[in-house]
Amino acid sequence: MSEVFTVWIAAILTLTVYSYLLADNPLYRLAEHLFVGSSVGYVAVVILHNILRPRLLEPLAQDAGVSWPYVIPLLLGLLLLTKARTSIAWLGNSSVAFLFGVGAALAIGGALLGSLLPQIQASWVSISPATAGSVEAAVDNVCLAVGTIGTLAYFYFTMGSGGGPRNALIRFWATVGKWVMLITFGAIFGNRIMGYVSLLIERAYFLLGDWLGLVG
Amino acid sequence: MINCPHCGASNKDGSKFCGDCGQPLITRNGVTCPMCDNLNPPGVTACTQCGARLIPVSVTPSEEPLEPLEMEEEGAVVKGVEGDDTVPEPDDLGEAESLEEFAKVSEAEPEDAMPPWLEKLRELPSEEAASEEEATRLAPGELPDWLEIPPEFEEVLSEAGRAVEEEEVSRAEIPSWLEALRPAEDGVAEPGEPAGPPERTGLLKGIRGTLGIEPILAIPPRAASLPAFSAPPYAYEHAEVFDKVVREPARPSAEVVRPRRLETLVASTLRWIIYLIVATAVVVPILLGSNWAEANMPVTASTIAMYDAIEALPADSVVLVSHDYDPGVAGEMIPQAKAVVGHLMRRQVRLINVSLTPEGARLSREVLDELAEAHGYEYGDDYLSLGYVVGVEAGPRSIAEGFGGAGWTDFVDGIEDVALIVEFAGATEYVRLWLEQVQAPYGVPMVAGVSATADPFVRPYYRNQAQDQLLGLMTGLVGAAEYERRAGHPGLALASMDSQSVVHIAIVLLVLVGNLAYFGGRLRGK
Repeated sequence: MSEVFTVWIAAILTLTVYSYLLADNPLYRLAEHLFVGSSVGYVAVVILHNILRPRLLEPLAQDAGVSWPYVIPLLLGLLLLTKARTSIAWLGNSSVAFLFGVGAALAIGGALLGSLLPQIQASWVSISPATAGSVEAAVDNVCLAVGTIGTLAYFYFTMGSGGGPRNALIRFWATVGKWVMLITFGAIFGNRIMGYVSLLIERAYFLLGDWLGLVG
Repeated sequence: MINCPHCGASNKDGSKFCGDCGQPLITRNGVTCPMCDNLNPPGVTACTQCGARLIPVSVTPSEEPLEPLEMEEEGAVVKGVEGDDTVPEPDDLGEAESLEEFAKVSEAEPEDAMPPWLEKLRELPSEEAASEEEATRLAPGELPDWLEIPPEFEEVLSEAGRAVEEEEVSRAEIPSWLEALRPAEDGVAEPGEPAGPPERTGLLKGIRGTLGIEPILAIPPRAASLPAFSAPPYAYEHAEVFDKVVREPARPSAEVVRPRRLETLVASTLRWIIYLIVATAVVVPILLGSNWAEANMPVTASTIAMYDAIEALPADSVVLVSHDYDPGVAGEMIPQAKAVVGHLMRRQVRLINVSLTPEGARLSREVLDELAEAHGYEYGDDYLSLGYVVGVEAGPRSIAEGFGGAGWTDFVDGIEDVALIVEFAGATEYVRLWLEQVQAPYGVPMVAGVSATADPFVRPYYRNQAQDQLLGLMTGLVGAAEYERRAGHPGLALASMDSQSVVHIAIVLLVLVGNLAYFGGRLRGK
């Protein structure tokens, strides 16, 4: 019975959201507010029951002699709450500094090791069919090299205002880069449309199958 | 109005400096007496403490040279006044009975007529008085009697002088920088001292060589030193267009915001036609139950690579699965998770599930429960869920460290025991987090299923075949359908592909028709 009730609620809310196609209306606003409110409430419950209680409060309560270092993150977390009041907000600066410091250190180190250096190395590709493996791979690598050089040239803003062969070469590659980026943005837009269509199909299956029972 | 205490010019209320001579008008909201430094209220002409005049008398000097006063007769110069003779006696009032009456009488008399008591003042000093004054004049270095040190203080002063000599008090050495700040006297600058007149007022009073404001403001811009500007022709064309747009007068808003009723009706009708076409393209294949894609859909190389990476896992190996998505992309990600996790369970591997998003933990639980029941998996023995892990960059790193140090699970002794990381990411940053914080530092093999939006940003990691950053990659609902077809277990994703294909064809046709109508309208306009 509860499952049927849940399906009906979900179906009505789905149709309410799609009512935005007609115009902005109170029913759509109601569904929007319900979604935001339930999401925030759910996140709060998850953090309390999945993070704070099992990983911080229970270890401290069960064996404080061993888990005493957990007092430090507990204290830092409590100091963060002072940010809500302007007069004592400075008390939370140390917590914010700790968060930013650790986050920045991990992000910079990870970006160098996991993205920047491997991707620079990956841009050294062979455009010869003999070493690339096949003609298709060689053409693919040529497109990769042309797109990389063109995009970098497009963002080369320190070009002098005068003419000359050097500037003409950069302008040519900048034009190539502009078209490469236009194609890329088109692909991103197409992929986004494809994602939205997937969501529409999933909702259509729900309405036609789970709610109306027209699809098995 | 405020009168300048230096030149007497009138200035506006609130002025701080004289507009004529530049001298300060007020100090601490008042006028400082130059004699006693008393602070007087603004606007007063005489000091309220000592009576000194705050506004100097302006005297216009005569252009002719001054001539010495003519001594017409003795007594023209007042050399001294005898106290007894300065006050008019009642007898000197003449016939007047009082001073007031005497004043009236005096006004009536001719100007050259002087009262008797004033005539007495015109008497020249006698020779005795002159010789007495000569005798009382002090020689240089002498002190008057009233300044002479009494004998009883001479001894005290001599003792103080001896004490100073015994302590050998020497004059303090002033550093050069402090000497440079020493207020200079008016007149010629000393050698080594900055040229120019000294400051007369303010904190820098007495210091020479200060930089005034006027020269800085008066420096003309050095336009001649700028390089010649040149731009390509298209830049000038763009500038002309911009200039035209800016200079074009604004049209009345009534012409802009009031579309015609027919246009509104046509636009609304066209929008509903598009809605109807898309809805039909989605619903009709579902209702018909067509399965054209199931038999004909090609599988891309990246999806095959992902399938092969999982297919190569030995039984009882441990796989870390991260569900990093939210309800906004659940339509793409849940079919992916069902296809891949189902394959993993068929391979009989043990699964550790985590999520970097709160919603992902909840959504993945439905997938895991459904598939675990279908494949006979037991929670705790064959799979487990660590739930939501906070920390952004620190989240994946804490998972990798927590396997060994914190002992989060007995499935593995450390991250090195994990055979493969399977990442389901609704956004690009989640793939990057796992790649940068776990895959690269620890060298754990990794595959990813991403939303269609994230694909263009994640694909370069898959293409990096030299370092095998991503062994396989599947994208969106299409990727899930490809995986199902490759695995031979058709599901919801593969069943959705007919609708997806028809909608794509419909959208392409609508784009073509829209562009043709647009360009056709432009041609008709010309």
